[in-house]
Amino acid sequence: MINILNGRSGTKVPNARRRNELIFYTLMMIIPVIQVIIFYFVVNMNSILLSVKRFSYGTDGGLAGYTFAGLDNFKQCFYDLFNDFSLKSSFKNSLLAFGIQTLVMPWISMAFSYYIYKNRFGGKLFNIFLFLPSIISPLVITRIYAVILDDALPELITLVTGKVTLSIYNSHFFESLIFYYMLTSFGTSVLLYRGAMTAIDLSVMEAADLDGAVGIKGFIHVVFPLVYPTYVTFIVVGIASIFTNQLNLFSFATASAEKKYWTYGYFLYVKTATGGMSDYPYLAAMGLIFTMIAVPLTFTARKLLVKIGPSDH
Amino acid sequence: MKKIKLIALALASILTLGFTACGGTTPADPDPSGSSEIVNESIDASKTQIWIDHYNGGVGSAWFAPLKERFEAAYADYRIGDKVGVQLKLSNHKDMGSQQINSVSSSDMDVFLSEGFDYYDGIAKDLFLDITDVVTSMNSDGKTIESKYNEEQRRYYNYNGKYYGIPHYTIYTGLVYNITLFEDELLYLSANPSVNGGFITSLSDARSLGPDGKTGIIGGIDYSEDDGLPATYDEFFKVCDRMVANDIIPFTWSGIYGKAYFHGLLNRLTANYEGKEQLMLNFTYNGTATNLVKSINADGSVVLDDPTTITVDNGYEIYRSAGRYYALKFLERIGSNQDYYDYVNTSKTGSDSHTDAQTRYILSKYNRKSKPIAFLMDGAYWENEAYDVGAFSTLKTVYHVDRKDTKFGYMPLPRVDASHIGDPEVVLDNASSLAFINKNVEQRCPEKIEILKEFLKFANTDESLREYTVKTNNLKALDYDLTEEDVSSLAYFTQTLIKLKDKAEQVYPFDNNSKYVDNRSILNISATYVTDNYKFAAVALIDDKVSAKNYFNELVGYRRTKW
Repeated sequence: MINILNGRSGTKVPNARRRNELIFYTLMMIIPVIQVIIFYFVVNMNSILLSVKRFSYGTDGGLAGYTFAGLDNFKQCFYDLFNDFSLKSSFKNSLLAFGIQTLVMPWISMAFSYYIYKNRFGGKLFNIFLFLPSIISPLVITRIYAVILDDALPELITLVTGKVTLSIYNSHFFESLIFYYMLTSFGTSVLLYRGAMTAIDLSVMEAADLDGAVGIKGFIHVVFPLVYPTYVTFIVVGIASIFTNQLNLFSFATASAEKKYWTYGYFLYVKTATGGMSDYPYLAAMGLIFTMIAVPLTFTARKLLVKIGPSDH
Repeated sequence: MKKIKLIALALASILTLGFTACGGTTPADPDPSGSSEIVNESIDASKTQIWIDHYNGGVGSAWFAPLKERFEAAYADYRIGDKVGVQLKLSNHKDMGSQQINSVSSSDMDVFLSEGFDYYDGIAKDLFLDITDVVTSMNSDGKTIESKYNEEQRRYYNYNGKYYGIPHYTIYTGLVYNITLFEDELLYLSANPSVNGGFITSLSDARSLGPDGKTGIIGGIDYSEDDGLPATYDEFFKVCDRMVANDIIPFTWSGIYGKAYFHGLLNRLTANYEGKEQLMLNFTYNGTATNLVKSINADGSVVLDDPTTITVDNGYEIYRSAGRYYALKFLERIGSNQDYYDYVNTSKTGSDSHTDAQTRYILSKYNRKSKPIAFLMDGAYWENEAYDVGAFSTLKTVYHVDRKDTKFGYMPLPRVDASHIGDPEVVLDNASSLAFINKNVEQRCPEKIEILKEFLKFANTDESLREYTVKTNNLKALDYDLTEEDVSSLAYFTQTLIKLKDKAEQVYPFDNNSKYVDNRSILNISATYVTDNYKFAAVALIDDKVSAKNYFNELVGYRRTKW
């Protein structure tokens, strides 16, 4: 008889063993499955239901609790998306964050990864320093960064130039945010790109060297096509996180960031953190609108990138 | 391989440096409360424990030790099962209520003394035990706790006939002024405005009447505390100009938090102009507004509109109040001259904390490397925070000045112009500190409910309220009297606050109408100056130099569209 579970022909797996393996499999999977059901399906279903409700505390004798609000929350959301300054700023800043994440950082990360992969001078040092912001606690590193730009660097400039220099963190807050975002983006991306490059068969690289595809040519014609799937992953993740990326704004400013610096991710986070139960339905509606935009965009982008990208051949 | 092992070992060793933080901070000043001993006190298994979750912020926990002693003594024979007596166990932390709200239902803490805990959200999430009997029943001091509430508190905390929480302590924000500096530099205004530019020439000179327009003891209230202080906005900036000329910096504030504190100042300035009745329209939406701006003249003065009936439907109109406009004008004037504020340190929005600002402020008068600073924008609990980080200890060890030789005061604010001198001062309580019993005790330990209620009652007797103030130099958010002995034992700053409060109108800025409660995230007192473009008026007017007029118009338009 052919064993279906272990594929060995001529061997029959006893029922008890199959049962035991099924029990083991079920026990291993049951917690993750319950987790997915609760934290994905139930939570998202709850968000959908919440988005069409209104909450009142019933303090003046009125009805306390949730009532059906139809599409009122969605109407308010769409109005605010085009009229509320914080959301208009969020559009601009979230797009900028997306641009940096998908159009700028991948290339800089790949360049550094290629440099390290090629064992060039100081490559290993780059490896450590680029990864450092990712392994130190974000709380610590944001504070250090803020103090350097707020205090240390201006003091140094004042000392050197003799001209009183005020906080760079304050006068160039958004630029500081962007620079920090870029600095801390390196860690994971360099690690993954370098991993993908390391997985390239040595014989391929040797053949490329023999054919004269060295340096940048080697990168463009050999390395990049082979790490393209990793590149696609980063782009797709970047698109999916357009509406959740905070640009580390909460780490720096907590709930006190001025509206001109907000991103969609920060808007959702801070409104949820500082709001009450009467604010949640509106935020649920807003989250759903973001999802309805992000999901098709993500799938379309992935399909497009896979279609137009270089093939392994 | 050996090299990698060595590097790994070195990195791991560096990580152990993080353990140095486990000892916690060791402030230069000793912990006066002894609360660390109480927190670490071992559990007495023969007694019933009452677990108290305590937000240990600016006010501190010096009040707890004597309360614990008295309560445990009073209930030494209290029996639950085979346990005799009670033991209060304090759990100190610095989590705001908004951070705790989702963990209360699963917490083992019985009583919460919190800050920033939303009362109505707590009720909606069924986190609070019904303590109506605690609030309305006669206490051992012959009064009910409810009798110590004012009208706004009674309306706000009474949810459909029941009480679920008790206001804990007050949170006043405003302006601190260095009285020692004022005295040493003769910055008080003279009763004779034609001499010495209007300033006194010696401390014995007769001073101007100040913002309250009176002096001396009248009806048991001392009106002389503000004598010589600027009575109007113009006088205030005249004093600021004198300070600048004398190499004194008028203002400092925390780089990180100052812009939020400015809202407190703006609200108090608005309140002083509007008065309690008009100010409450911002929350009740029920009454007639008499100070609404119709138009703003080129010279910055306003044309007032006809009295306007305010209802829930047109509540946005109240944002046109003249008091709000003039408060913005005050802020605009601060921002108009960089010499008016400590622009180097206040620009450090990433690193200059409230305690940095407090330390800088306290030491500025004696630190020869910096100019003395006259005003600090902060909350009324600021001295406790400064003490905790060792500011007064540094003052003693480095500059040989004892804390008791310093005099700081809670500044009575100037009025818009001379026609408003004598209008009552208004003090605003931020009203975000709350005491409640965890609802889960009904399932977790129902046998303790009675003693938990007794604890809340005990902690809110007049004796306990007075003791709290004496120990913390802060006021509880209830109506109670302090003896003369109590007052004289308080820090000088707190004495000035009490003197101001005695002659002021107290405003609790909230209401229980559904329009306000259901939208309080954007209608609460802290958000009244938020516009479409700006979260903080200080950023707009001081950093970005937006004019008061433009900001005011933007504010009015924003509220109209958002209503």
